[in-house]
Amino acid sequence: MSTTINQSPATKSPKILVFSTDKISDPGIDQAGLRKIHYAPSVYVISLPCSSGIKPKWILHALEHGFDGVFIAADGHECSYSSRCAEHTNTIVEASQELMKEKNINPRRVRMAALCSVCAEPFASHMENYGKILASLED
Amino acid sequence: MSRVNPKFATELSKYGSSDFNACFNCGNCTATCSLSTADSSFPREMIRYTTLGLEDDIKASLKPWECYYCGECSSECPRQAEPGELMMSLRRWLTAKYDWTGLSGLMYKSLPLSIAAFVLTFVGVLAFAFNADFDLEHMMHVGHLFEAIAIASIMVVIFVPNIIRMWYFTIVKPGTKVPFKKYVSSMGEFFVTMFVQKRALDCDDNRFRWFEHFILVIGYLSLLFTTVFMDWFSTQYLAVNIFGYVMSAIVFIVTVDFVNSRMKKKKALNKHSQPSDWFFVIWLFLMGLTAFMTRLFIDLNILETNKWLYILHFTVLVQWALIIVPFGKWTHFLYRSFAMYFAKLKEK
Amino acid sequence: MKQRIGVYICHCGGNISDYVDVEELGKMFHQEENVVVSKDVMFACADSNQKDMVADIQANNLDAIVVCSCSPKLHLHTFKNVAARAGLNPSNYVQVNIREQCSWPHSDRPREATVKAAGLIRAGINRVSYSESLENIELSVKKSALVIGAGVSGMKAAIDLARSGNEVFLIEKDFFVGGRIAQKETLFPTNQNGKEVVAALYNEMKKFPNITIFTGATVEKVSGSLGNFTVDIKVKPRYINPNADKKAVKRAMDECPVNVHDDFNLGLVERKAIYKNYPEALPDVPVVVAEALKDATDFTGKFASTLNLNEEAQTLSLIAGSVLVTTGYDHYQPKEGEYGYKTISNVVTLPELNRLMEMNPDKLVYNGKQIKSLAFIYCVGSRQTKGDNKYCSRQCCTSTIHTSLQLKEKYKDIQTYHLYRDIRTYGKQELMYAESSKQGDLYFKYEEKEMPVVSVDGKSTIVKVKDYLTAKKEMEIEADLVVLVTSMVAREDATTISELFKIPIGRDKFFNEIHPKLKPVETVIKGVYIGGTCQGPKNVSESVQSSLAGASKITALLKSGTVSVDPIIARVDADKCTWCGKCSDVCDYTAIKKVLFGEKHVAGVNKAVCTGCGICAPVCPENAIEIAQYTDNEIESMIDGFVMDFDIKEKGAGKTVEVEEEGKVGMKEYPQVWREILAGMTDEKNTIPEIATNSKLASELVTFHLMTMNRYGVVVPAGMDAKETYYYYKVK
Ligand SMILES: Cc1cc2nc3c(=O)[nH]c(=O)nc-3n(C[C@H](O)[C@H](O)[C@H](O)COP(=O)(O)OP(=O)(O)OC[C@H]3O[C@@H](n4cnc5c(N)ncnc54)[C@H](O)[C@@H]3O)c2cc1C
Ligand code: SF4
Ligand code: SF4
Ligand code: SF4
Ligand code: SF4
Ligand code: SF4
Repeated sequence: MSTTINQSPATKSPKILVFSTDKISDPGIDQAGLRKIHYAPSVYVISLPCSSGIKPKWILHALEHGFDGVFIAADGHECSYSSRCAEHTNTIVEASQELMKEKNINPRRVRMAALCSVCAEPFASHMENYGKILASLED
Repeated sequence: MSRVNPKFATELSKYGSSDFNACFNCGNCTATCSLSTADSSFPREMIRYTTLGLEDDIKASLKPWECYYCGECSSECPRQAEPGELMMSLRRWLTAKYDWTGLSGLMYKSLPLSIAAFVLTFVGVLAFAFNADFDLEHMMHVGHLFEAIAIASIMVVIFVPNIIRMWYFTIVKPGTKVPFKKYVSSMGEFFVTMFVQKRALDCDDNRFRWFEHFILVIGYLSLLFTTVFMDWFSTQYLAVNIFGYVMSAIVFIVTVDFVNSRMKKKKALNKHSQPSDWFFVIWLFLMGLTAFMTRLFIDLNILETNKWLYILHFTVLVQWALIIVPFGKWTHFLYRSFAMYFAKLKEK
Repeated sequence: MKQRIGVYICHCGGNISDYVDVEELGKMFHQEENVVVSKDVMFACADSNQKDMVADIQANNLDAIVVCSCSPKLHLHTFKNVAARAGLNPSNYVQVNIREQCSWPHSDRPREATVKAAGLIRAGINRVSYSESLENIELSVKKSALVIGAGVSGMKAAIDLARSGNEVFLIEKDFFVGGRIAQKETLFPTNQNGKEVVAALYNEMKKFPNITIFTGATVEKVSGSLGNFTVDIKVKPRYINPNADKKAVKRAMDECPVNVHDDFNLGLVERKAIYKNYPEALPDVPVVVAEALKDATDFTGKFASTLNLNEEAQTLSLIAGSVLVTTGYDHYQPKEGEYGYKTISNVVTLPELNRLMEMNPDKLVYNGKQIKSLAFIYCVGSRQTKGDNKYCSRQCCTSTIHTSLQLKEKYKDIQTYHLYRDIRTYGKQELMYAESSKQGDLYFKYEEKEMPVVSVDGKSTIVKVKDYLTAKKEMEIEADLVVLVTSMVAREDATTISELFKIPIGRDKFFNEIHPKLKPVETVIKGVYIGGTCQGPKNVSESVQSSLAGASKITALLKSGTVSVDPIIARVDADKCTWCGKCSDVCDYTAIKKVLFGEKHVAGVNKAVCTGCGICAPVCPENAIEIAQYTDNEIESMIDGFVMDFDIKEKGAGKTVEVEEEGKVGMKEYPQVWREILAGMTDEKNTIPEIATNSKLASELVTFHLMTMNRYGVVVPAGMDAKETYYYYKVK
């Protein structure tokens, strides 16, 4: 028997795009997998060198093309590139929210948190909480 | 607020233990000790008091008496600080502190002095025998009398004041209020400890050792009773006579085993024998043996021709009664029993 | 856009295929127009598969490949190398993580995991179709190294670098080499004399003509980058005539009438205005504090030919291929009143005590009073849960205990008290701790919330401590000297070095490596390494280990004369750029400079300096900056891939995909290691140890694979061996 599925899982749990960092938060997310800690399969991850390199336009692109929320798994104080990383990433979040406002997108659809290279459980619980928040949003 | 006094360590090492400074307070000893409880935890606490020189706290403590020196703690200590040996040394030190004459302390600290005392008593006995023209009957009469008088006077002059001092240090000075009723109701603890040493049974290591101790105490007390009150050496009753033989035999047989294990030094508790320990077992052994022989010679009717045996027995007796009982290790037996009693009083 | 893409989807021996229907996905992507090869493979990383991939690439003329398997942290380079071997530029390769980020975390929902995997793979294909062939950036490097700081770390590294044939410039801020170890008479654990170690290292350095030492020198300006740093240094004058007679210099030192603050002895005494740190200090030329001799004209007149008070500072420009920073640490300076420091006369720090011990060979005397008892308070300025220095300074427990042993050895009748929070004498240093307690040193444990208090009571100094080893009893300790065991802190001028070289500084103010385990001496600045205590607290042996690690890294770097650096860096679209300078402002590495492009000014990226962090990209108002491999096209097409709809045939009737019945999965090929195991299975029945010996593989490996092979019905158990410890296996 063959069925066509049409985003059926995603209609249940919100689609979240996660931006992670190659050296710190992405290994943390890998760790969650390694330890079979479950989170929603509607979570997709793109890993970058540094969270301060995310362009607001990418965030907007994701939200306009089917993602319900964007989550930035930043390095916080651990970033090896810049001691001002958290500050920079924050600026990016604010800039995205400006753009989102113009398009009438709820600013809560982008969120950032620091995640470390062994933060497996925290990642899963972030996804669960954020998923709940997104599910409750009506924009 | 307690003032730290590192000099105390040097003082205490004269009573035996010397490695306690190695302790790094891991607490293994306390964890392993089968007698230590949550309410009364040792030996680490005593080690701590000792290294810091908190004399008053040590003097007020009954914990050294709660230890039966099974030696478990010493074998477990990762720093070889010999906590068990420290507890033993503290008992010696406390004995010296309780003793108002100060002689205990002197004898613990100085072997020559102890030997001098033994020699002196021996000379005294010889002088007495000489004076009595080696008249056996007279000597035995005096001997018997001496035993009764010595027990009574040591009791009154030494033990009673010392026990009162112990009571003062451990109960009165630390400010423990004990209602009179409790003094009476806790009496049981005292007698049980005195005769059964039942706490030693809680030691994990060795029921046989406890049994030996128990038999020895019974044997020793019975021998004392038979000689002093039943007048064993002149008794006509066969039952008393045999009883005397058995008891004296028990005393010297058990002590032989004790000497043996002290020589082998297998167990922690036997590793560090002090002169006072040797004196105690050897004299106990001699007591049993010479008493046994004396009665045997009487029964064989050859004592008259072997007066030296009685003089020897008498010497041992005098030394035992005047040196070892009041100032030596024998007192531990007494203080321990009182310590249990006092501990019971302190219980809430 | 790539037109001939190869896609490989890995079973990972069941790790992926148990939950994700890889066979179905393999078929599905085969239908995509720009996908030429799409396969499911048992072990993508197996040698056999790697060979097949090379053959595929060459036979089908593939222009990009995607491997959908485990995390790129494991096999990115494996498959990049496959591409390279097949003659394909490695940057046309994308790895899709369908194990750690799909099959495993979603093992509870296999059906949805398959859908997610489809999205991830689609995104990977989209991304690779925008991939460009990037070439590594080749830079030529000067075969010379600059070492900053001539402490034990710097000197050891300089010797090592010189021995490997590099030109070495060693820059020391002080006028004498040696750093902190010269200040300690005996060093644990070897009890060597600090000054003798310094002298031995200095004499060793002198044997190498390719080491140039600059003392009294500081870095003023840095330009250039990996392979070609230009560093301007300023060398301060010594004011001694280089041709002066040695004896005259000696006489001038003796007769100098002016005294100045003695930094080397931490201000415990004063020194002459013509001084050496200590008599044997090296280089063997004293220094004149010219400022202090301004008014001593009689004296300066007398020694006019010896002194050269008009000497000027020199500025030199050095060119170095790489830089090693070994600038060391400072002692924490207690605040006034901290445990009575500076307010109670007999409170000193541990470094001060170490100086005192050296100055008092027979009797320890301080303030005219003989010291017989000392109380050490540990962790002063370290482990402050609420303060700045949250870290443990690592070596101070051992230093203190070692000092305590030295005190006893040197002065015999001395009692020490140690008020600690935790004793951290790790490794062999533990033996010193045991020795110290055995010699009668007394230890007290305090907690941060109840710190010891130092007070004066008549003539004596009392330390009160709530001792956690004695049921928190309040203890009073009388001590002739109270010693604060102060922490190691970053050098005050570390920020200057950090700004000059752009080395990131951590919250503890020490220099930061990239990764404490994986890149322990590398900084994010290419070509700049750190070693020794400028990185964080260390004892001598740890300091030297790290600086030597830095030295070998540099030697490897400089060896070939060129280095190739990752091409993943920023690039500016000169047409769009209007030179607003915003990108240049945020770049911590000053990689962006204003350059002329035709008629206009635009932002230009220094390829050797850019780290590819991407911080500049989002700030550009013109969106003129992209990071290679993270272009808008690549990222946005990935997002598009994630959200695409898929037609996926569902297996079986149920809602979720059942794991295939054991033993039914068809194997198209066995991984190499399976073949080796099978070759090692000689006759009917073999136990794991037998197979391991026959196939020369580790028995754990054999165990692991036999289990999988058993599941796939390649082998089956055939009873137990006689001792009932192992199963026999046979080929099915
Ligand atoms: C009280 C105390 C006792 C210790 N005892 C021992 C011990 O017994 N055994 C042991 O193994 N470890 C001991 N240590 C640790 C030991 O001191 C260090 O591990 C060692 O000194 C580190 O050497 P270094 O070369 O990294 O740093 P440093 O010794 O600090 O040397 C750094 C050098 O760089 C120079 N410098 C700094 N900034 C600049 C600049 N901007 N430009 C040019 N030059 C610069 C400095 O002048 C100095 O010469 C002790 C530490 C303390 C605090
Ligand atoms: S076991 Fe030894 S080191 Fe540990 S607390 Fe007891 S005596 Fe001290
Ligand atoms: S010797 Fe035995 S009874 Fe005494 S403290 Fe040690 S473990 Fe406890
Ligand atoms: S090494 Fe010891 S004294 Fe130094 S900070 Fe760490 S714990 Fe404190
Ligand atoms: S931010 Fe953009 S426009 Fe401004 S200088 Fe940089 S690249 Fe040019
Ligand atoms: S990516 Fe941009 S911010 Fe980062 S180092 Fe390169 S030029 Fe500087």
